[in-house]
Formats: sequence, structure tokens, C-alpha cells
Amino acid sequence: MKLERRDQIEAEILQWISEGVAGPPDEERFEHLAVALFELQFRENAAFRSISEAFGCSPGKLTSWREIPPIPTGAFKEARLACFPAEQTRQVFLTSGSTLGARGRLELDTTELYEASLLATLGHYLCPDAPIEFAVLAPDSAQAPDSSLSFMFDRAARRFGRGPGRFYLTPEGWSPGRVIADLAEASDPQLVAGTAFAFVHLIDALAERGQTLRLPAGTRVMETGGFKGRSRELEREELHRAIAQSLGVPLHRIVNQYGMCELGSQFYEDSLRLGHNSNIKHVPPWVRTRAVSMETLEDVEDGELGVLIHCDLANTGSVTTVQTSDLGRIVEGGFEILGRVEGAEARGCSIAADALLGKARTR
Amino acid sequence: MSPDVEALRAAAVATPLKQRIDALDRCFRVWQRPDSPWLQELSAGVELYSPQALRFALRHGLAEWTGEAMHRLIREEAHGRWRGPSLTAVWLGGSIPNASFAALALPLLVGSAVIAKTARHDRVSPTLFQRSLRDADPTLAAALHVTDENEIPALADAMVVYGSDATVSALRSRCAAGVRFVGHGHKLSAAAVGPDAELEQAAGAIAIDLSLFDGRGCLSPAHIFVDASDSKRPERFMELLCDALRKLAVELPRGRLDDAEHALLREVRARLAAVGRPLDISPHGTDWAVWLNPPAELGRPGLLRHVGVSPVSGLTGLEALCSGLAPHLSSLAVCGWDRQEPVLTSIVHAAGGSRICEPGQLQLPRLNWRHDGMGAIEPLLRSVEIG
Repeated sequence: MKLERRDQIEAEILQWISEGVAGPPDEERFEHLAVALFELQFRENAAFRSISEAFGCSPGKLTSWREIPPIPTGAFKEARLACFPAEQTRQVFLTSGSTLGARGRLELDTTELYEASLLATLGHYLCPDAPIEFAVLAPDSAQAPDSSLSFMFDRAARRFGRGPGRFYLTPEGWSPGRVIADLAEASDPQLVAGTAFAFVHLIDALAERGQTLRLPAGTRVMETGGFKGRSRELEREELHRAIAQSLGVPLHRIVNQYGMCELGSQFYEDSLRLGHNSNIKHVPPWVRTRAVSMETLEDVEDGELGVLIHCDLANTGSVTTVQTSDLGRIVEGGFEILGRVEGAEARGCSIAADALLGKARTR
Repeated sequence: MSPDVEALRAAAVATPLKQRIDALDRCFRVWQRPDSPWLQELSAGVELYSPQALRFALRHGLAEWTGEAMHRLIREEAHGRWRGPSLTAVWLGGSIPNASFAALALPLLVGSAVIAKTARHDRVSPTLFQRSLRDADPTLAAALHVTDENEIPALADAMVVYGSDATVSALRSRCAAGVRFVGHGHKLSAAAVGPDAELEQAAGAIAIDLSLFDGRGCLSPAHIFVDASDSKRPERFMELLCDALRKLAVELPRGRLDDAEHALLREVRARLAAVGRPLDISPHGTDWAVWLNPPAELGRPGLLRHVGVSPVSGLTGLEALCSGLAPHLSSLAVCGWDRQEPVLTSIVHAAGGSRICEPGQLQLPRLNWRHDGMGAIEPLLRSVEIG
């Protein structure tokens, strides 16, 4: 059956998400939905239509989801990429800024798919044994209403949390002493979540006190975002070792999440479930990730370095296919992140949180 | 390895003016030959530019470097009993071989020894120039030392710097007192098509300006202004420019870009298309793109054969947009504004520019161009007046 209406398409995608992240990728199903979404977005999203037409792509010409024009994240700073009138916007997520000051913008008229996708993946990779206590090194969504990260932690804590989550950042900054005291007193397993920067600050605060913690067995850590030239930079492996040492959490229980404001879905390492370290990001069945040559937009060979492009069916109200500034390679089971395109603007959730943390440290 | 400064100076002193001019003339003639071994070696060693584009740029760009033109330059700029520096430190910037050659040859021409620091994006052409000069005249070549080291030679009595404003400023502050300092900072160029221009000819010539060195240099047109007294002309010009760029993509292909550059171009295209700019793009990868800005809007600067066309309302409109480039304008290619030289000169002057030329000539400045308003060799010279 040809899907034309957005509610029909969304119902199909919600059904797929409800089947969980462990299901088969189902190429035919993906193709059908991605092409239907392209046609819808071409019709309803004026900025996307302009881009597609400029790139010679239109519904009649599209033969595969791979031909959908990838939209560089920078375009989210330039135009409203939405399939609905502005007055229907219910939620706005902003990127955390850039060296040029402009911020990318994702508008949603419904958060149903966004929530469904984030809960399906976060639940699978981080909370298979929920409920669990959430300790979040980020502001809550009331204090940071345009942060996709705060939204995610908020919804995840509501679904998988034992009691309300503890959010440690405010617009005024944070008190590392309070985080450390709470964690030191915790008797139940914790899900400690935050940006890479937040963990750097927490580790530094512990080091200044000459203190290390031993969090309860069953604790896991979710670290997200990059460093991108801000604050003290650590390599990811080094950061994870430092977190393990400072918080007393085994390395394999420290999970990196990769996500971006412009996407409805996120990508996780499976180390918590596997019981050993893994740096492979897993792609949910309703998402496709490609590593491409920027010259041709053709896929590079598996295992070779390319720029990552994600086609995410959870992005029904904006555009499905987003071109990142991340370099990575496709490997069995998912993809690996290996850096950023040199010269690309530094951006990511970590920076906004780092600014808040930095405020407190300079007082 | 540190150069032997005394040996460099001795080589410069040992080469009289006529010998220096003859040597440079011979050297540049070899570079212009289609079968030049130096050109072949440069093409093999440089990925930024295609061999076809390099051949074109060197053949046309170095044609000015004749013995006669160098003698004329000396007559025009060197007065009285003049002398060049004993040692000039040249800090190269960018990636344009023609510009590097001129930067090395000018101090040699006035009898100075030269220690040249290569630019990050062009380590090859200065070294090849040095070797080609050795073939032409080993004595003069012995006055030139090319290095990758970031040290300012302690004994230099002149310093010439090409680079960003920040680089120029930083090196100026590090220069010892008494050292003559010549700095060429960040600049860009533009093209202006007037009401009397023949559009196809103008588009073809500006396409050459855009294609040579792929928009990487300060003489590449970053903006194109088209008179819109007839409102259809800017759009018509854009179509013709696309036709010309399409042909040049084959005849003078673009050089190699890295992933970041391709990604940047794709982002620029998407951002322009997202806000509904009329945009025409190469059917092959990121070869070229042209977009039409709203009337009287400067728009984003072009890069890598991607450029915007801005409709302007006569010379007043041109002046308004050029003023937005001040003080960074270098050169303006102009056609179709007949008998308007005084006004155009005033516009260029106000924007910080130092050159007006015909389209197609932007990348090929004359030997005696007063770059940034300074003589080509004059700032290096000291004259003694008697009486």
C-alpha cells in the first residue's frame, strides 16, 4: 500500500520502533518508509524541497533511499526545515552553538516518535534491568527547554527511573560537592549520565579533593558528546579509564552514546549488555548510517574512512537524511566514530553543558 | 639546516643587475614552455591544482617576466643611487605558485640575498623555483635559500610577509627595529559587469578568473556584481557563467579537494538552496556552483569555483557593495562601464583595492603592479641622494 499521509507513515514507524532495537533491519520495509517520507517531506517542507530541487532530486526521480539528498547540519541554522506550519511547533531543540554563534534548530509538532525512538534505544542499551536511579550531570528540561539532551534524560528518567531523576546542573552552574556527596552516599545502582565535559569536570573535582568513589554494583555510566576543542581535552579511552577509576565503575559499564540535535534517534555502544568494551555504535533498525566520500556522496568501502550520513525514519517532521561533520567507518554491527572533518565547526551538546560547568569553576 | 648567510650575501653581491635580469628571464622562459620539466615536476608534486590549470596559469602569468619588463621596472621604481637589502626574509603564504615565484624573484632582482620560508600549503613550488634558477644561473641561485623552518633570520635587513592579517601582524611585532617590513595581509577580489558589457564575453573571461587557482587566491573573484539596469541581465549572466564554468571544468579541471572542503561546499550549496537562492550547480560532484543574490545584497563570498552574482543598480549600487569589502579588496575586474574610470578608481580605492583590470586578467597581474598600493620593489630599496 502506498503511504501518503504523515499519520499513516508515523503509525508504521511507531509500530517498527515498538518491535525493539533487536529486530532485523528489514531493507524492504526501510526502503518503503524512507521513500514515502521523502515524498511527504518534499511536498510539505519548503526548504527541503528547494534543496532537493537544486540537487536534481524529486519524487519522480528517486529510486532508492540512498538518493535522498543529505542535509548538512549547517542548513538547520539557515532555514526552517519542518513539514508543518510554525504555529504548530510544540518543541524546539537547538544545537549548542558554534564558533560562528548561529545555532541549528529542530522543530517538532509532536514528540511521540522522538520519545519512542530514544526510549527504545536507551532502554535497550542502558536500562535492561530498569528501574534504576538517575544521576544526571545536565540541567533538567524545565531549565533547558531547548536542549535535546535534557529532554532525553528527562523522558528516560521518567520511564526507567526509580523515583525522579537527580539533575545537577542549573543555569547558574553546578556544585560538584553535592554530586560527589550524593554519589558517595548512594546504596542502590545508579545510571550516571552526562556529557564528556561534565565527566571531565567531575573527575577534576574529585581529584582536587583527593577522593575516589566506589559506586554500587550495577551502576552504569552514559557519556555523550565530544570535546571539540573545549575545556580540557581527553581521548575517549582515557576519559573512560578516568571515569572508571574515579567512580569505581567497571570499564564495560561505561557506555558512549552518539547523537545529535538534528536526529530523532541515537546510537549506543553495546558494552553493558556484552560485558566487555566495544566502541561500535549500533544502528537501530529504523535508521541507516552510511560512510561516504564527500566528493561523490558514494559509499566508501566498509572499514574505510568516510563522512557519516544518517537516514533516520524517526525524523518525520523535518528531514530524514542528515550529513554530519563526523568521520567514521562502517563495521560489522554498526559504525565507529574516528574524528571530525577538519575545519568543520565545533558543535555538540557537550559545549552548552561545559559552559555551565565552566561558570561554576570560575567563581 | 641553517643557511650560510655570508655565502648567500656573497652570491647576491657577485651577480650584477644585468646578470640577475638575464637569469630570471631565462628561468621564467623555461617555466612557460609546454614541455618544461619544472612544470611537469610541479604538476606531479602539487595536488591542489590540475596540470592543465597550472600550465595555463604559468604560461600566462609568467609571460610578464621578460628581461625588458624587469629593466623597465627598475627604471620606474629604482631612482638615484639605489641599493637593495643585503638579506631579505620572505615569508610565503597561500598556495599560488605564481605569487611565490614573484615573491622570491623581486628581492633577488634588486640584488638581495633571500631566505624564504615556504607556506604550509605550498612546499613544492619555491623549492622547484630555486632549482630552476640554479639551472639558469648557479651564482644567482646561490643567493636564495628555501626552508620550512619558522625562524626569522636574525641578520635579515628586510622582511616581506604574505599571509593572514594575524600572521602579518605577529611577524611585524617580532621584527627587529630598523628592518624594513613589507606585509601583504588578507585580501579578496571581485568582478563587476557594467551595462555596456557583452555578457557572454564577460562571463567567459570571469570564468577563467574563477577557475585559475580554483578561487584559492586573493586575486580570485569572491563576488561578482552585475548591473541590473535591465533586470534580466544578472540572471542571463549567471546562465552564461555556468556554461563557461561547465566548459572550463573540462579544459582547466579543478584540483583535488579534501573531505573538509567538499563538505563545506555541500553545506554552502544546501544553505543557499534552503533559503531559496536561485542556484545552478555542476552535475559532477562539487566542481562549481553559481547562485543569484537578491538585488543589492553582497552575499557570502565565493570559494573553490562557487560564487554568487549580486545585481547592482549602476555605479552607486556597485559602490555600496564594494564598500562592504573594505579594507580587504585587492583587485576589481571591470567591463562594460565605459568612460567611468575616475568613479571606478574611487570605488576601488575606498574599498582598499589597488588594481582595476579586465575580466580574464585578475589572476595575471602585471610585473609593475603596485600591490596594496606599494611598488613592486620600491619598498625594498634605499637610495642615497647627493647634493
